[in-house]
Amino acid sequence: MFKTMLVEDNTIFRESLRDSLQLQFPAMEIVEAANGPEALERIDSLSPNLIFMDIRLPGQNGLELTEKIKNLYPEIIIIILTNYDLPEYREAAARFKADHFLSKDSMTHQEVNVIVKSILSEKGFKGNGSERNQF
Amino acid sequence: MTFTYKNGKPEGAVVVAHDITERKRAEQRIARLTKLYVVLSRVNEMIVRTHDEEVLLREVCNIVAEEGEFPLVWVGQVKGRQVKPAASHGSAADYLKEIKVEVDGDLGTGPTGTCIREDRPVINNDFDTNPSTAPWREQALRYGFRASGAFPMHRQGRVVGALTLYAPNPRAFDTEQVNLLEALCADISYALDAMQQEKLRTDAENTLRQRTLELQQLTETLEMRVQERTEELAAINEELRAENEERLRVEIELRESENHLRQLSTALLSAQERERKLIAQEIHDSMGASLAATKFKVETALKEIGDGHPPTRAALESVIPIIQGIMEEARRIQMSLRPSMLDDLGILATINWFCRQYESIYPSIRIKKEIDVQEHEVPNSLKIVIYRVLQEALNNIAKHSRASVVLLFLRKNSQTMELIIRDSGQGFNLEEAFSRKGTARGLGLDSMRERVELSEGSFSIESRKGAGTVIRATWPLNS
Repeated sequence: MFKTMLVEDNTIFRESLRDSLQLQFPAMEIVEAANGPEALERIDSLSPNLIFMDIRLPGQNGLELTEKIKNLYPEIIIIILTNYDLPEYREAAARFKADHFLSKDSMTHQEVNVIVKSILSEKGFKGNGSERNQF
Repeated sequence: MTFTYKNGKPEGAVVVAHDITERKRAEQRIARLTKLYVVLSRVNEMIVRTHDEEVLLREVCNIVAEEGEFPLVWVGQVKGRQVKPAASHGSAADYLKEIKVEVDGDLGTGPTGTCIREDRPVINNDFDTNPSTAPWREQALRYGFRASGAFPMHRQGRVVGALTLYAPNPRAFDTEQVNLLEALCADISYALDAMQQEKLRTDAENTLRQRTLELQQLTETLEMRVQERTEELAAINEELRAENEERLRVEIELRESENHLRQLSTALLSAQERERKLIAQEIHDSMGASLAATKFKVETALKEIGDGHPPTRAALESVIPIIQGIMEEARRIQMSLRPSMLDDLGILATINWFCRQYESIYPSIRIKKEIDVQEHEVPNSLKIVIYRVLQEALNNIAKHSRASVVLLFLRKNSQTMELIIRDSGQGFNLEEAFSRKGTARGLGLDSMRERVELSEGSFSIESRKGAGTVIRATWPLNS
């Protein structure tokens, strides 16, 4: 089962993202964390495949956290969620080893779906989030 | 005594009588001289004892008349043309009331006038026969005077009067007497001179004593005044010292007030920034995020509807751009309040973004950046200050300078960090700008300076009309 973790302190946004993802990928397991320490804790026990990471978390820089996690678990895909779709943010996301970048400002369902689908196929999962059958 | 013989017979005692007369005359002469010596002696004695002129003259007349046995002796003083009695003594003193003597003319022919005029003793042997004494003959004879003598008296070598004596016998004044009386007058003159000197000396002494006394009084008065003045000055000094203390105290209080004010200003600016940050966060981060979420939800709903229910679909679709519009608006507000990029990505990224933004809004202005520092070298507290100074300066340039190029430097050495913003525009008159008050100070120079100084930096601005403007902010590092 493909596991996705949402690390986002804004409840409304987190919930709406979860709803949207679940609708599109019903077989995906989605877990949530509201801050950095919680996220790190959950990663250990849950081993997610994908993390949506908000750039600003309470008392913490999401970029730094991203870099940290990527160093510890290089196989986890991290999508940075920023406030603005600006080159500076993109460039920073890349610098801190995020795999993808999404701006909360301008992101659409479509965008999210496209990215997630590509990740799923990359990791050898079916389009709905369930595992591909072993051949 | 000898006998005279006529035809062998003794004639008589003529010779004897002649001899007796001679001897008698000699005896009389000796007696007179003796008297005069006594007079001289007594006068000299008296002179030594006397210090008053009037007394002297009076005593002289007294002694001469009494001891010399003269019926009248007087001292006359020249007063204009007249010779007036200054002192007199004798039984016949009333004579003087009846006569007048002058130094020349008809009443100057007598011994007194002549002696004064010619500065020599003059003897009148007989009032009865002397033509020179004719004017006074009648009175003189009445008073029993036959002879008289006048002797000049001097003061400092000049004749000032005469001593005149009268005798009942004619030819009473012989040469020896005249000499003695002359000597007497010389003594008297000398005494008068001495007395004059004495008087002068005494007067001088008195004057000196008087002046000394006056001087003493003046000195005392002066000392008193000085004392008063010193006390006054001491009092004033005390006042000044007290004033000074007061002033120092006020200065200290003022300085403390200034410090306090500074602290308040810093606190205020911090509070302002915090508030902006909070508002910015609320507006975009939470409000914006919620808006994004709303948009997402609407999209989700659209997806669930699929192709069915076109009216609902249309309605939902129309909401999306509205929400997008609000999100953009929120973003704009937030960026101008406090860009979250400052906290998310740091000052360097924010400068980049701001300059890019600026150049797109004002395409005629190009910003050339020279950033020589790394993100971690910039103290956190300075980041917002640098951003605000940049924001203010660039806004001013857009509004007033008509520049086409802006140079932006952010660099450091081991001790300081420096931000320089230089434009090639038209510049402005600094004095004028600073002299305007209130809202006319639209250049925000005050707030830039204040922010920089409150963050322990120093701020300077140079501008000349036609030559552009340079804004410089320097902060010490490791402070």
